[in-house]
Amino acid sequence: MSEPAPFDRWSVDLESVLRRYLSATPVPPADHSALLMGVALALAPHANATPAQALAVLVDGVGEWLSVHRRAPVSMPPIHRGAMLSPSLEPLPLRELWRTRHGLPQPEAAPPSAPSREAP
Amino acid sequence: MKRMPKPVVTDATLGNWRRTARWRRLLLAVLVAAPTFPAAYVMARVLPGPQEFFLRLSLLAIFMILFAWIAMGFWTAIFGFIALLTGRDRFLVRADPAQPLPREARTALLMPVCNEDPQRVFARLRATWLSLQATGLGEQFAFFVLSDTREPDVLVEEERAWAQTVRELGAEGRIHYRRRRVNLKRKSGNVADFCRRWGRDFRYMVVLDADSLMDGDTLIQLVRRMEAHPRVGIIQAIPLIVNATTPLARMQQFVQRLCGPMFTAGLNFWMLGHATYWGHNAIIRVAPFMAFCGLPRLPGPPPLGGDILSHDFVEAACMVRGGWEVWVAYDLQGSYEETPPTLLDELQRDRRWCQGNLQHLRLLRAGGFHGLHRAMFFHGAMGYVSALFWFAFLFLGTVLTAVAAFTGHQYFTPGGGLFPVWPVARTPEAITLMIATLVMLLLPKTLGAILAVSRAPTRQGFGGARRVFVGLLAELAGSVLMAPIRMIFHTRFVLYTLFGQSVRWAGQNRGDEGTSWGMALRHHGFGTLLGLVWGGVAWAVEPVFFLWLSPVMAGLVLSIPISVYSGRRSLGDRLQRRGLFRVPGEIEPPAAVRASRQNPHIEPAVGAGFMAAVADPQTHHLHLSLLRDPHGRRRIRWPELRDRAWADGPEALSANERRLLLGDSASLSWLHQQIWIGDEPARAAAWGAPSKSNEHIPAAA
Repeated sequence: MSEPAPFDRWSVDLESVLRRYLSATPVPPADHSALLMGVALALAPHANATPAQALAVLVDGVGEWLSVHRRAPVSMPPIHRGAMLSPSLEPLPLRELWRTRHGLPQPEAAPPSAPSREAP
Repeated sequence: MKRMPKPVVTDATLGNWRRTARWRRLLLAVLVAAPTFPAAYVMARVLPGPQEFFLRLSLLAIFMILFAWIAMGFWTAIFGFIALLTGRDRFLVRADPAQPLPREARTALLMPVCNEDPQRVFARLRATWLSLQATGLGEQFAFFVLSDTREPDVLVEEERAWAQTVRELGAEGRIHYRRRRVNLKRKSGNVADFCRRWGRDFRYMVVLDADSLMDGDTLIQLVRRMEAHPRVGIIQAIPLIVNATTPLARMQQFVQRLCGPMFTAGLNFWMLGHATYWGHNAIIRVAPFMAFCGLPRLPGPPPLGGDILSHDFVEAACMVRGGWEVWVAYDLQGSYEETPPTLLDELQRDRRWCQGNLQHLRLLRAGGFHGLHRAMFFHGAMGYVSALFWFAFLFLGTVLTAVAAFTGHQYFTPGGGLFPVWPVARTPEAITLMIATLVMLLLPKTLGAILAVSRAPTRQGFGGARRVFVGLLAELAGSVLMAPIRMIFHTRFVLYTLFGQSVRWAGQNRGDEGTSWGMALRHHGFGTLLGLVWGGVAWAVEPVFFLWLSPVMAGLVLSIPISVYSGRRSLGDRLQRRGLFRVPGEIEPPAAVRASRQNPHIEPAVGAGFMAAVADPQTHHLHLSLLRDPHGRRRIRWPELRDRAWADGPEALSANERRLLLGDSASLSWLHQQIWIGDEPARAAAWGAPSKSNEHIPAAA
C-alpha cells in the first residue's frame, strides 16, 4: 500500500490497524494487499469514512474470503417436516390393560405397521 | 473336510420365534423360582431367634427378591454360555454379508452431544467416518451432530471442531451440525427433533452416544440386516468398552469383554425379538420410530414425572407395541463405547439412570406394552432398588442379631407348654446358603473366563490363561470392595428420587482428571463413618456376625482410598504395563479405535471458547454464519449486555449472559470491531487480542 488508494483518510495508523486484523486471520499474506485495496476502493466515495468503517469493510472482506476459501458448511439438508407421534403412556385400569395386551389400536396417521410374516 | 458356509438366515426362518420365546421365558421363570424357594426356606431356618415375626418376614421377603434377582442373572449367563460354546443360535438376525445395499437404504448417523469435550467427540466421529469411507459405501450415510450444548465455551469449541473436521475430511454436506435453541425432552427430544426435520429423508438412523465409536463394516452389516428383516424396527449392536485408562475403567473393560458377550447371548436366548435398546450403537428404522416412539412427558413434576430420562427402554417397548421387532446382534464386532474413568463419575451417571429407571415404574400400567417389557421396566428399576433392599436386608439382619443378643434365647415361649425350646446351631445350613449364593454370583464370571481361554485367539488377546484368571480374581476383589460403596450411593439415589429430588442435566466427565482426596472425602465421608459405626455395633453385638459383615464394612471404611486410587490414571498405566486386565485389541487396537485416540489438530485462535467467538476473526465468522447472519446485521438484542461486556470484559459475564450474547449476532459483530479497532487496547487485551507492541505486522506489499 505504498501508493494509497483514493481515500484521503488513509494513514499508516489505519493500515496498521487493518494489517493487525489480517494477521489474526488465516488469510495468507499474499492476499492482504488485495483486501486492503478493496477496503480503500470501497471507502473512496465516502470522504468522511472513519477507521471503524474501514475495519467493518475489512471484516466483511475477510468474511467473503473465508466463505470462498474456508467455507463453513453451515447449510443443512432441506427440511421435510414429518410428525413424531406420541402414543399414550397413560396408566389403564387392570381390565383394560388385559384387553390391550397385544397392542393398542394404532392412530390413523400411523403408517407402517410391520409387514406380515408371509410377505417379508 | 470342506467347511460348509453358514446358511443365510432369512426373515422367514425367524418367523416362529414367538412360540419359542414363550417356552424359553417359561423355562427361565421356573429356573429362577426353583432355587429361590428352597433358599428362602433355608434362610428362614438360619435366622436367629423364633421371635420378631414381622422382622423375620420382612427380611425373608427381601431375601427372596434379591435371590431371584441373582438367579435371573445366573441363568441368563448359563444360557449365553451354552449359546457361545456351541456356536449355535437359530434365532439371530443375520444377513448375507455380500448382499448389495439399495440406494434407498440411506442411513443417518446421529451423534447427540451435550457439553462434551469437542475434541474427543470429533476424534471419534472422524474415526467412524474414515472407517466407513474405507468400506466404499460411505455415500449411503450422512452424519448429524445434534448439539444440546449450553456451556458457551464448549459450544464455540464444538463449532470450531466441527468446521475443521469437515474441512479436513472433505465432508462438506455430509457431516452436519445442528444446535437446538431450546433443549426440550433432553436426548430423546434431540433425536425426535432430527426425525421431524430430516427423518423422512432416511430409511434408517444409527444413534451414537458422545463416547460411541463404530466400525464402518459394522454399520454396513447393521443396514444389511435391517434390509434382510423388514419386520425389525431396532437392532442393537453390543458396544465394547475401549480406551480405558484408570484401574476402575480397566476393570470394567476387562469384565465386560469377559462376560458381556455371554450375558448378551443369554439375553437374546429369552428376549428374542422383544429385546431392548440401550440408547446408542443401534440401528433404528426411522418410519416406525416416528410413528410409535415419540415420548410424551410423564404427568407431574420431576423426578418421577416430566421428561423420561431413560428413554431407550421405553422406545424399544413402544416399537414392539407398534408391532415391530427389536433384536440384539451380539455376534457383531466393531461397536465401541467408553466408560466413566472414576467411581464418582460412574455414580454421577448412575444417579441419572436411577431416576430414569424409577420413572419406568410409572409405565407398568400403560396400555399395549408386551409383558416382557413391563418385566424389563421392573427389572431396570430393580437394578437400583435392589441396593435399597440389600441395605435393608443387612440393616434388618443387624437389628435381628442385636435383638437376639440382647434378649437371649427364650427357652419357654408364652403358651408354649412345659417343654423348653432348645437353641439349635444352623451353621452348616448357613454355610450351604452362603456357598449357593456365591456360586450364583461368581459362576457367571468364571464361565466367561472359561469361554475366553477356550479359544486360542481370545486367550492370546487377554494375554494368556494365567492373566485371565489373575485378572478375574483381582476384578472380583475390586467388585467386592466397591459393591458396598455402590450400595450406599444407589440407596441414596433411590431415596432422593422417591422423595422428589431431581437430577441436573449435565455432560458426563469422560476425561482422566481423577478424584482428589478432598473430593473423595466430601462424597465418601458419610459411607466411611457409617462403615465404622456399623462395624463397631456389629462387633459389640456379636463378633461372628461382624465377620459375616466384614467384606461390606471393609468396602465402606476404605471407600475414600478406593475411590481415589481406582480413578488414578498413573495406576491404570502401571496395570497396563504389567498386563493386568488386558483385553483383546489392547495391544493392536482395531483401526477405528486407533484413529479415535488421535485428537484432531485444532487451529490456534485468538482466545478460546466464548472469547474466540468474539475476538478471533475465523471463529467469529463461523459462529455468525451458523446464526445465519454472517455479517451481524440483525437488530441488536442485548444492548446493555453488549455494553457491559465491553466495559467490564468477558470475565464479568455469567455463563448465561455469555450464552445470550452468543445468540446476538449484531452485538458480537460490534464487539469484534471494538476489539480490533484498537482505540482501547486494555479492553481489547481482556478479550485476548494481541497488544500493539506484541503484534507482528507484515511489511507492506
